[in-house]
Amino acid sequence: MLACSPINDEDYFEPEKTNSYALDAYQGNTGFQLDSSYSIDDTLIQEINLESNDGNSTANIVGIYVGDISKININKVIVYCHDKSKNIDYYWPRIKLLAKTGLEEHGIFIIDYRGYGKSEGKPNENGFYADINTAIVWLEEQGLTGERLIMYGYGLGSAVAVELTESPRSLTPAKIILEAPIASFESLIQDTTLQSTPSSYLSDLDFNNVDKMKNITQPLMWIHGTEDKIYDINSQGQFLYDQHTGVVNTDKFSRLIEGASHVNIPQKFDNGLEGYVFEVLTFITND
Amino acid sequence: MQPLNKDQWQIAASIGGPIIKKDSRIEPIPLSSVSVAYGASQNLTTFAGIHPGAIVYGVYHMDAGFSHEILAPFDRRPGITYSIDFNAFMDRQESQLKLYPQLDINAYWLMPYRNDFFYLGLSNWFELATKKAHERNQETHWIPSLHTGYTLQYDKYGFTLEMKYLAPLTNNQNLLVDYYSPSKNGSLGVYLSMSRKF
Repeated sequence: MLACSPINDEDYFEPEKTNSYALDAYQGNTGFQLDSSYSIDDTLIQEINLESNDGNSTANIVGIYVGDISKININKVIVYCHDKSKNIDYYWPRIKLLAKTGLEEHGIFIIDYRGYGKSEGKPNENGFYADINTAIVWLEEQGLTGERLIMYGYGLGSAVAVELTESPRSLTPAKIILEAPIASFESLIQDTTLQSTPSSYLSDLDFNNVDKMKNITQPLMWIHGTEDKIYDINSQGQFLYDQHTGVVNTDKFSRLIEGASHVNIPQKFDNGLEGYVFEVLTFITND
Repeated sequence: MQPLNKDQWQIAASIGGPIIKKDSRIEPIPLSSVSVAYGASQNLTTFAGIHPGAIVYGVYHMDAGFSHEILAPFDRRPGITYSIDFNAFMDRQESQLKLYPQLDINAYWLMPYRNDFFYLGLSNWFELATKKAHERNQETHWIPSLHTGYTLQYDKYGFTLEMKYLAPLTNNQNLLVDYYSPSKNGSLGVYLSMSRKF
């Protein structure tokens, strides 16, 4: 159907720039709403500025650490690799949800990739990997060790979580959580063209999680909505999950959320948001 | 559609493609082609083309084939033609070569007192590969499309507007591109072309 019509790689990223993060005051649609019981004490929200080099250019990138920085040397930390659109503000409700797992014992670090939010530069695939690795290096400097590092990849961010779990450039993560992940950009293109079109015909993007997942031995939690129209649950999520060689319900766990789209998965858990928090907490605390 | 006369030449250029929805507007993907055709006999026309729009983005797309008229139009009876076309793709970046054969069957009606003609047909695009990325099975091998068009034919010049319903049997949901279609299958396409005979 679409044998050869190029995809503008830069268009595939959908960053939203900002001069300052609104967080709770963000007015955009974030997929679901949280009540005041999910609010986080301001003292536990720290904006972190880092310098990241992707091999071609250096960019000042910005992230937000949620938790007690002085406890990074003893706490577990979830590194949140967000999806391809918007910026930290859009994902803030998701960070607050993860904070419900207990900020006494867990921290969460979300970073805007280059070109997103307050981060400088232009988005690119290598930049995604470099920027999150820069964040991990910073966490290591604060005392984090690999056995307390959990990678969380949402949407296209799954590619970053998978890459840095399979081929760590600093700390080796202990666990990985993937929410609505992509299998690979090539498979996405072939789903669209119906043919075995090489992705190089249409795009320079790779985001190949499939081959990397085969080498990941860390426990995996996969969450996907049955109505996801961005990354199809079967051809993308399930196919990727199947590549993990671990034993089901021992090394890898799946939560298929009936009726959930790409953006409202936590809300659609059986017990709603609390169900999502419980499932994630169970996965990150079970050793 | 309509075969050339024996030893007649024709060059043609076309632009158009599947219609996609993007940022709340719809637009055809601007694929383009330039082709040359030759009347090998009164009912056999050979042709070859290149696709400059693809070259701009690093993919060489060429095609070549022939069209054979098996029934000439008479009065209200349409002319019937079929064409076999081989499409070759290769990208500049990784030099990956792909071949796609295509079989079209067309009926065309000559307009009274004019050289114009109306046509409709079935196009069949074939995927020969049995595997796709990550060793997954390539399950779709036949991608049909329906098309209809009208050619304003002057002495030397022709102008054609063609509409296609691409891949009408295939679900178009949850894809990288948001196709414009009257149903949850396939995509509409629109194409404009101009030709000159020699």
